[in-house]
Parts: sequence; C-alpha cells; structure tokens
Amino acid sequence: MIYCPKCGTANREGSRFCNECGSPLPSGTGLRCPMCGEMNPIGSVYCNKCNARLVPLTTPQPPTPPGEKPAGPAGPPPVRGLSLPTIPSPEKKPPVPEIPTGEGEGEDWLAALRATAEELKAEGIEEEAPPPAAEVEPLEIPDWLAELRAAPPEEAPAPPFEVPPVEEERAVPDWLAELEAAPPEEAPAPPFEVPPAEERAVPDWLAELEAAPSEEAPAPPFEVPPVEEERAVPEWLAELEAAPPSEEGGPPVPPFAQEEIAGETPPKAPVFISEEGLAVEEGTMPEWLAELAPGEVEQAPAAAPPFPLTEPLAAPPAVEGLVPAEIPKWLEGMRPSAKREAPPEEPVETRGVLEGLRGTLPASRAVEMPEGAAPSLPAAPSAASIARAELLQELLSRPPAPARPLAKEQRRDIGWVVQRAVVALLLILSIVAPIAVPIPLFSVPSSPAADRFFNAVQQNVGPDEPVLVAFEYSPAEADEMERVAEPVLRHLLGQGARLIIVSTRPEGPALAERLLARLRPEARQVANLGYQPGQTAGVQGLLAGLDRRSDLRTGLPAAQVAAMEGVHTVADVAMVVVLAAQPDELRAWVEQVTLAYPDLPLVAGISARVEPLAAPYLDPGAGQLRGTVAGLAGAAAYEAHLGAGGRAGFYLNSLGLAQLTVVGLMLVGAAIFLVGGRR
Amino acid sequence: MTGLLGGLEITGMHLAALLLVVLAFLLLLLLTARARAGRPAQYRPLPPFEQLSVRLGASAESGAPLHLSLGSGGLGGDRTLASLAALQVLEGLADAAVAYGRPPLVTAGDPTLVPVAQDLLRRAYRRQGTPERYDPTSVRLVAPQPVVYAAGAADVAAHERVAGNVALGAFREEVSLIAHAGERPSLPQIAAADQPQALGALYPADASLAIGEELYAGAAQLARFPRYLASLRVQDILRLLIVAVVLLKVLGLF
Amino acid sequence: MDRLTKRTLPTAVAVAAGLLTLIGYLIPYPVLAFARDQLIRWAVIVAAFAFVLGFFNVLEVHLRRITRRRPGGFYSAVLILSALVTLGITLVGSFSAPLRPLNDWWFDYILYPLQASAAGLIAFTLALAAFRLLRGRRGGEAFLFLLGATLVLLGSLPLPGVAGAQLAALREWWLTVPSMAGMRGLLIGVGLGTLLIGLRVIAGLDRPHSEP
Repeated sequence: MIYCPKCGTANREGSRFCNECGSPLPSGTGLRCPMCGEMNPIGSVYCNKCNARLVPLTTPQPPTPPGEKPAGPAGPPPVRGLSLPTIPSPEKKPPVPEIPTGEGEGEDWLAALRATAEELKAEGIEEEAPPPAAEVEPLEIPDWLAELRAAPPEEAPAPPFEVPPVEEERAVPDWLAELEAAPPEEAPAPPFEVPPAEERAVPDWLAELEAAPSEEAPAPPFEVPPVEEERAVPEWLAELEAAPPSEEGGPPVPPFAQEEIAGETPPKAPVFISEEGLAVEEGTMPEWLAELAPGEVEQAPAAAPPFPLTEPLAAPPAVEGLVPAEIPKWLEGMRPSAKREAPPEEPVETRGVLEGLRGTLPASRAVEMPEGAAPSLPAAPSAASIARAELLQELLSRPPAPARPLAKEQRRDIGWVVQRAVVALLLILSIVAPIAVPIPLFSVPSSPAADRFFNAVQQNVGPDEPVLVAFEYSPAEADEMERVAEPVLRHLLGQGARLIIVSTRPEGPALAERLLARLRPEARQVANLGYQPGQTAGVQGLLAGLDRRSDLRTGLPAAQVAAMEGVHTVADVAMVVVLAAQPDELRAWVEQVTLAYPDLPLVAGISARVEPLAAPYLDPGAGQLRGTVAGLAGAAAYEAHLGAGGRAGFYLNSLGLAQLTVVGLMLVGAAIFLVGGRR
Repeated sequence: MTGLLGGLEITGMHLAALLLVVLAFLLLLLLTARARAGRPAQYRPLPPFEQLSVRLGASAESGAPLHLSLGSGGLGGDRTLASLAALQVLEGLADAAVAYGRPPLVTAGDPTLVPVAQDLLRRAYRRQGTPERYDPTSVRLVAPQPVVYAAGAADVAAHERVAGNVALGAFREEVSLIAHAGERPSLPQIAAADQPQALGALYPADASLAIGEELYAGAAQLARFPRYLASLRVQDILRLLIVAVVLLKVLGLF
Repeated sequence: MDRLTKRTLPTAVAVAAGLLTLIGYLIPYPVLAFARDQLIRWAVIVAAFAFVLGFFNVLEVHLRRITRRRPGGFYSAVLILSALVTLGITLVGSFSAPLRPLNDWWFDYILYPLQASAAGLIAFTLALAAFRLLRGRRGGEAFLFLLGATLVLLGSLPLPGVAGAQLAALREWWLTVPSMAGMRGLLIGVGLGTLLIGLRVIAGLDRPHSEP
C-alpha cells in the first residue's frame, strides 16, 4: 500500500502514479502510518512519529536460518527473533542496550523494579515494563501469535536494557512490599554481598550449579519451567544438569508475569499505535490472560518484572561487559531444529503461587533443546548470583499473597447486582402498586395542547368526513402510544368521521388493526391503506396518491372502498392526525403536510419523549400543529374532555409514582456516589 | 428542521439553503485542494475517537475484537448520513484492525448497512493482501427494529468476548440497553450519537461520549485524509457564519 | 476496463444521482422533483433487496454458530427456527385470506409482547443509569443534567397546589429556553455535519460505493 503524499489515496503496492490525482508517487517515502498519518521511509517497520507498526503482521516472514547466529560478545549483532518488542520510548527506555559496568549489578534488577514501579505509579497505568529478560519464551501463545512462532522475524527491536535512574525507593508494588525485609531497597544489601558459596546454605539445586561452568550470558533455557516443589531439585534443573546449566536457571516467574511477558515477547508482537495502546488498564486484563492467571494474583502489576531473569554475571573474569540483549551461541543453537525429543512430562504443581496451573505451561513443547548444544559456563557461579538464587528460593517458599484485589472486585460485583436489584424492585413496585391499589394520587392534569387538539377535532371533523390517521409507532412504543391514540380515535369515531389509516412503519397497519379491534368501528368507517416505505420520502408519496393504494382490510383498491369515497389526495381530507412516537416521523409529517397544504388542520398524538421537540410546532406563530396529545398525561386530559375515564387516567398513577421513584433514585444515587466516591 | 430553525425567519428558505449548500461545496473543494497541496487543516482532537484508536490496539493485544454497533439508521432513509458517518469510522478502523488480525465485530440495525460494512472490511483485507481471511459474518444484521436491534447488540456486548463496546451512528433511547450491557469494569465503552434522545440515554451511562456533530468528525480522527480535515474546517466556518447570522438577527441588525 | 466499472462508473452514477436529488430539493421545479422522487423510489426498492440479503446474513451468522459449536448455539437454533416460522406464517397469511388470523395472532401474541418487553427494559436501564450518574461523570455538566432531569420529571407530574403549578412552569421554561437552545445548537451542528458528508459523496470525494 502506498499512500499518495498529495491526496492521501491508498494505491496498490508498486504503483508509480496515484490512482486518485495522478501525481507521481515517490518511491522513497511510501509508508503512511495508519495511526498518525506520518509518512515513513519504505522499509520502516515502526512509525517515526508514534511508533505504530507499519508492516502488517500477517505478512509471513521467512524463518531465520538456524545457522545464523550472533557473534560473540565482541561485536554482537542485534538480538533477533527472541527479543522483546517493547516500545522503546526515548525518555524512559532508551532502545540502545547499555552494557552494565559489572559493579553493583546485584541491585540492577531491583532498581529496575523500583523504577518500573515508579513509572507505573506515576502514570497510573499498568504498563509493560521492558522486561530485562529477552529470553523468556511465551508459555501459551494466543492464536494470533501462534502462526508467528515458527518464524523468528528479522526486525524485532532490541529490548531496552538501560535501567532508568532510581529516584525514590518506596514505590514498590504490593507484592514486592513483602520482600522489603529480605532484599533491601537501595544499598547493596547483605544478601547481595558475595558470600562464599560453601558457607551459605546453598540449596541443593543450586549446589549442583557450582561445579558446572556457566556462560557469560545467563540466559534461561527455553523450557520455562513450571515451578516445582521447592525442596527437591526442580525437574527443569535436573534436566539441565546434563546439558547446559545456566547460573540463574529458568527463573520461576509467576505465570501471570510470564504471560504478560509472553504478550510482549513474541517476536512479531503487535506494537501498535502508541504507548497508550499497550497500556492495559486495570481490570482490562485480556481474557486469554485472565484465564491463565491464578485468581489471587489478579491485580499484581501486569508489569511484574521477571525478577532475576538476566542480570549480567558479575564474576566471570573472562567476560568484560555483558550485553544482555545478545543471545549466546548455545542459546542460538536451541532454535527449533528438525530433531526433537519427546517433551518431558509435566509435573503437577500443588503449592505456591502457581498452584493449579499444571496444564497451562506447555512451554516445553514450544522449543526443544537441540542436540549438540554444549555451552560452556564459568567454572563457578558468582556469589552474588547465588545470593539471588537464595532470594528466589525464599520467594518461592513464601505463601501466596492474600487475595485482596479479587475480594475488591467481588465486592464491586455484588454492589452492581444489588444496585440493579434495588432499582428494578423499586420501579416494579412503583408501577404495580397503584394498579393493585387504585388510590388517585394525582389529579387529572391540565394540558392546553390537548385542549386545542380536542377543539380542532370538534371544529373540523363532522359526520362522514374523512380523516387521515398516520400510525407512526412500533410495538416497542405501543404501550404508551395506544393510550394516546385510543381517546383520540374514539373521539373521531364518535364524531362519525371516516378513518383513512396509513403508516411509514412496517408494523403500523397491524398496530392500527389491534387498536381498532377494541374500538369496533363500523366497517365503512375505516380504510387501512397499509405501509409506505421510504420514511420522509414515503410521506410525500402518500400525500400525493392516497387513491392509488389498496385497502388491507378488504383487499380492494382504495378507490372502491366506502371510507375512501371522494378522497384522492390528502387535500380531500378534513384533518390529518399523526400518531408519532419519535421526533423524526413527526417532523416528516409536519414539514411535508404544512409545506404542501398549509391550511389543512394537522394535529398529533405523540409520546412524552417527543413533547419537548414538538413544542416549536405548537407555537401559534408557527401554526404548524393545531394541537397535541402528549403522553399519558395528555391522554388523560383528553379523556377528561370525552367525559369517561379511560386507560390513560388509570395508568397515570403508575407513571407518576414511577417518575417520582426515578427522581428519588437519581438523587439518592447522586448522594451515594458523591459521598462514597466512584465505587 | 423548519420548525427548529423557525426562529431564523430567513425569507426564501430554498434560496438560503441553496446559498448555504453552494458555499459549503465551494469551501469544501477549495480547502480539500489546499490540504492536498500539503497545507494541513487545523484539527481538533476528540477524546472518544482517540480512545477508539487505543481500544483498537488493546483489541489486537487481547485477541478479542471490538464490538461496533452501527445503529438503526439505514442507507436511503432519513438517517442515511449518520449511518454513513459511522461507516466511515469503520473504514478508518478497518485497515489497522485487519492488519492486527482482529477485525471489529459489527452489528447493524438496518439491512442496508450490512453489505456496505462487509465491503469495507473485504477491501481492507484485500489491501492487506489477505483477502482469503475476510469473514462476511463479522458483520451481522441483528434486527431492523431499533429496540430489538439494541437488545441483540446488547447480547453481543454482554456475552461475546469483545475488547470494547463501541456504538456509533443513528440511535435513539434504546442505545441505553447496549450501554447497560457493556457496563462492566473490564469493558471500555465509546459512543457517538447525534440524536438528543440517544444522548440523553448515553450521557449517564459509563461511556466515553462524542456528542452531536462530533460523530461526523470521527472519521477524520482515525484517517486524516485531506478531505476529512477540510470538511471539518468548512463545518467550523459555516457554524461561525450561522452563529453570526443568529446573533445579528437577535440584535435586530437585519 | 476494470477501473471504469469499479470506480469511474459507480462514482459517476452516485454523483449524478446525488446532485439530481439535491437540486430537486433546492429548486422546486416539477421535472427535477419528479426525477428526485423516482430516485428515492429506487432507493426504497434497493433497500427492500437489502432486507432479503439481511435475512440470509442472519441465517448465516447463526448457522455458523451452531455448526462451529460456539456457546449460545441453542439460542441460535431457536432464532433460526422462529425466523423460518415467522417467514412461513407471513407468506401463508399474505397468500391465503382464511389463514390471515394466524398471522395476526403471531403478531399480537409473539412479536408485539417481545418488542414491548424489550422496550420496557429501557426504562429500567435508564433509571439505573440515572441512579449511577455521578459515578461516571462529575462536574458542572453532570449536575446540570441532574437538575434538568429532576425538573422535567417532577414538573410533568400533576402535583396539586401552587408548588405543582410552579414546578410545571419551571419545567416549561427549562424545556423551551435552555433545553431548546441546546437542542437547536446540536441540530444545527448535526445539520452541518450531514451536509458536508453528503457533499463529499456528491462531489465524489468520498466513495463508499466504489473501489478507491
């Protein structure tokens, strides 16, 4: 797609001239950002201006050849395929990976956590922190990603590794707060001071690592391990014993965090729009993610940084300066190869934060450890990393955090249900009670507009005079409109008028018959000319050719029906009555009738919702409407004119009480939410 | 409009309307040409439609589509242009949504909207080079009666896996059903309507709301084609003109 | 050729039809009015075809839901069944007069109550939204809304006494002055919006009908 820089028209790929304006399409600037409109050079993957993705994800990418591996630490090419396509925002997350100095890295990840928490707090959103770990493989890949996993794409940006400076110490997410006692916040803390491995109570599983050489880039193996029981050697580690033990091991990131990372990790994850676009607001956890997350961690920050995933190694003297974004050779070698082993059996998780997540961590099937990957690791893990491993171990042995956020959510839901129930109950009560116990609460309302309507009928409609009645309401509005129409039609029939019924709504004729069945007019008094499509244009058509239609009741052409005698166009009727439930139809009728026949008396029975909009037409200066009967109140007033009480008056009590109830609810609700906040 | 504009008392309604239309037409052509020549027209951001871009991204992330209700106005009826405005917003969304692999789930309340909406999505797929992925059932006719339509669209908002509930187009008070069904903490709602009844129903609901003519500016927010920006500008100029006429009239200056 | 049929021709037709209709409204000349009415009649016919297409769209969507065993398949089956039954009853009723009462019965006792009860729900959702008004919105606007709604609802009640009359007068003022002013402003803005979107189509700038 090439967007014309002149007119913005989208042209086919490869076009040289714009289809729209004919101006030449510059081959150099071809990609228009779909989100912000910025023009970007062809070949760009992300927009210069807003960082939205320019290249559609659906384009299949050739898989990286397995032989293509990053070079050594000396001249590392950018990470490919496995990097995290987080949005590199210039101020916060410089996209250029910075090489840690090698001193005090112990704090780096904590500092990153803190800084991230700061950001989160400052922005009030749960934003994906750039997880320092590039190597976490998604545990469960959503559909839209599944097809991409086989093909590590080319241009995924390197994950930003530079840790933002730490400003404050305290803004640690809840779940981390518990850790305060153990890992100190700012200063290099005891656990990080390098203790001799023997002196510290090194857990079994770590002890095994000591002998094993570890490579410089401590990348976890691709099989992200389900967290096992803490004591025994985790299976994932056991597997590593034979092959390449990494000093950190696959860190047991909580599954929710894993998933969050997974959302970001996949090579071609859609990095769209802007940073906001990525922001997952509170409670808007994607469903596929929510399903996986254990309930109690629901509110844990989405950006839970995968803690000790990849700090650079401190000790190994051979290594000068790690580039965490690199993928070491041995890891590169783990790219999917033709030869696969059977996936290891997945153990059942029964404890810890991952409890109950047994079946949901099929990462071991995603990428297998290829044969022949025999990395060399440093002779001994650094003491700092051992300390971190201990911390990790301790984290794992902690009981899960209390389920505060979920409880809050539940309370909110209960509140929602209660609110709905109370409102529904009050409404039903206020409507049913006056019907069950008919005590007149309200007097019959006065309605000058209804009085004018009544007088107009008295003056203009004599015996045997034709009246055009437009039924412009549907069953949805019929409960109110039938109350309005009934006294009006009864009055007209009582005057001896002939009713010519039309409608621009498909259900109109049927609703007219429904109402007439109660009023029982003589057959010669009514002609039902049916439904005219076309809305406003339909009204025009109706006015001009009443006699061209046919009568629904008899099936005869309109000209042969008794009620239509002498009526050809609307000019021949004594009065037009519009029964309109919505402003559109009222407007159509008023405009068309008064435009063509300014002297024809026009009155309207309308629903209460149309009343405010009908007011201008009633203005004696405008003179477009001779009167209206609006809603139940107007109908009750009209019934009073007719002398006999009717249904409208009967339901008026219900309506009035319901209106009072709504006013009460509104005021009470306002008070509650004003005092109690927005919960 | 006669009754509602009755206060203006312009003699010769036809003449005044003709004048207005011709003026608007010329201004539109002029400003569109200028905008195409590279002079971008001014542009007012509208929060609900900015939200819409964001929700589109979230939809791609979560793997659930946006639910887009197009309302009950059809093409060919009185509400044609409100429906057309909603369709243009869909057009503005379609390319990005299709590129992300999550086309919106569109519900329509009038059968004439269905083929047009389907065509917009189909074209977007073809522009992306994946015409075979186009699914005609992502556009659904619910019912031609407004209330029944609202009930059906509310069911989609309440029970299908959607990442956002968007209502644009010709609605009346029945839109309250859709807004109610979509009211849950995890489901952001965006609405744009131009009918007073719909606005009365939407205002108290929990939704980011574009009011009145903003519905017609939504497409410009999503796809800043020169013609859209130019027409926003013309709209502003004409509005100022009308305000001036009304004021002069009120002050008795003509 | 491709370009002609997919782009030029539809645009030309749309522009011509749009201009003709517009001019027919603006210049009251009989021939123009006739052409305009004819075009509008065609639009109505096209819309009727759209109903047929729409019916098949409904069937397709719900059949697919059943065959793919998506949740709610049962309701889809009910929907398809009732759509077919309604179609059948309507067809039978329109061809055979003795069976017309079946048609009426179906309307009076199935379609009417269903629509009416769905509409009844609107009262509930509106009341609930009014109750929760200040939860979502704050500030002067929300309080104005609250004030206006209270005034209109109370003022339309036939309350006895002087207070009732004053409330009614206040409601009348609210509806005819501030509310009407706002509504006119809204409608003028909407009118301009519709005018421009229509002009864009008529000028061939927007082409919802043809290939770009």
